[in-house]
Amino acid sequence: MYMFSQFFQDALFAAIAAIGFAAISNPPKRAYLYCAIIAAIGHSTRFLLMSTPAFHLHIVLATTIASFIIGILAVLFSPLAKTPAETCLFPSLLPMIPGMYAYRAFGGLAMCIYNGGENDFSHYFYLFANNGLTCLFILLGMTIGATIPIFIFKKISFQATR
Amino acid sequence: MDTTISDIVSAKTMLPVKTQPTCRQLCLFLSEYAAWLLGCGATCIRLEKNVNRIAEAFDKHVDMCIMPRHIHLTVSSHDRHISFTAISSIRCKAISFDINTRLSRLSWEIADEKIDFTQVQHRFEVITKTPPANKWLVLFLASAANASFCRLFGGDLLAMGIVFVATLAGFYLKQILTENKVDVRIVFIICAFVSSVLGATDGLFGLGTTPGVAIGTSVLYLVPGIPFLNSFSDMLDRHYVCAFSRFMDAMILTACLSIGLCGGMFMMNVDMF
Amino acid sequence: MNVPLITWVCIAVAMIMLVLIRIFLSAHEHMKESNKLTSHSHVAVARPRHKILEIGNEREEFFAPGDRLPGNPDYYGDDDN
Repeated sequence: MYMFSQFFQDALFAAIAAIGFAAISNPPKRAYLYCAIIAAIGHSTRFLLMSTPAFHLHIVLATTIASFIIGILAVLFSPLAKTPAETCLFPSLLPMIPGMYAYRAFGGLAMCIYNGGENDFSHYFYLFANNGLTCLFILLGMTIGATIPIFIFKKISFQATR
Repeated sequence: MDTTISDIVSAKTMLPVKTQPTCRQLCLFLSEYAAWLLGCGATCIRLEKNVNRIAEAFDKHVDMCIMPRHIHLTVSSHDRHISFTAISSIRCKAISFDINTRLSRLSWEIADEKIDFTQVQHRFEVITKTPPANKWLVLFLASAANASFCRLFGGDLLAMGIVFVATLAGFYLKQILTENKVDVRIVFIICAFVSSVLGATDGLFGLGTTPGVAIGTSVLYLVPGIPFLNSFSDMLDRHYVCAFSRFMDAMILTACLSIGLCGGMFMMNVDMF
Repeated sequence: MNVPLITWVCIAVAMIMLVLIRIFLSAHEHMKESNKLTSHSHVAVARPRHKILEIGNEREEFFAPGDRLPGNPDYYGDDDN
């Protein structure tokens, strides 16, 4: 029951986050609803894959699978929304962007330079490398996962605005 | 039998020949179209497909070289006897999926409806004048989105409220500075600093249970997500130059964000690393 | 000296002042426009907007006596501007 409420909350807030961040990129008005639905499904899938004991996947793998699901949904919804697949896809991916990993990586790099000792340097360099690589691989996984459906369903995705 | 020019039709497009654009006209139009499409945040593959579709609709052949800030286009006749080359700078506008969608639809209208070139130019002019979304609505939605992000990272209700206000302030400042044409990197540093200082409110006054989440998520609205996604998308399509350029843009903006955040954390005496 | 508190207060006050000034300026411009419409004034005075901070032209920043001026017929634009 607790898991169910967490799952539902995750989906709801991911939908709100997708609508908000989509608004910054000026999508067509009809795309907002589809972005919210797709983001809710994708983000809650990632939450499920990472948190449930049955799966307990690493964030990179969970993000890739969730992005693949988002990609399929975006391609299927794009003819309904009369928009290119990227218009529904990219805003839906925004809640999964590893922003905290990105700026922690730069923060770690700054602290490397700020601190002099070898131990401190090694610690902060580890933070920089760990967060930086995690960020890069999450982005790579997201893009690969989201782009594969566009190429599998090429006809649908490139003719959506027809 | 006498024939007039209007009786001669193109076998491919079924349009009277006189309404066909010349290579020069089409090249200048396509370079403008491509500059706008790329400036609005489209991926290179979408640009290639749209431009090729338009050229084929007018019975022309097109070759493109997509560079980070310029597009080199050569339009040639089907038999390659006549060709015209143009280079145009990318229109550095804000990302707009609305304009992206309309320009993509225009390419299909050209391919399917076989519309006259003068109409195409007119429709293009109308699309480029599409107004952006209401800035107050965007401000409110972005703040709500960041507050939702705070919740997703485990923040409590008070942290969500503080992040909402911090994002409201930071994003409002970003809108003002962008209107005044301040360099985007300076904008990111200043807005990240302001948002992180205001996001540290609950830690400063000892409110709530998740002060670390509040300050950490207060700057997430500045993360350049679309440029990151576009860069990896271009990389998968083997447009490595554009991919690297977009990636560097995104990395520099993230670095500026981090500078502002670190400055804010330093002034607020918050240790996050 | 509580640096975090002072910083927070400065930023909060600056943001509040910014909002109030913007509201005041937009209300002032709105009143000016409605006055112009009612008074049917045909004189349009274009006030130059003075920027507080501005990045200057390279030629203005690094000018040394003897440099060619743009109006000079011998000037053939050998810089990037």
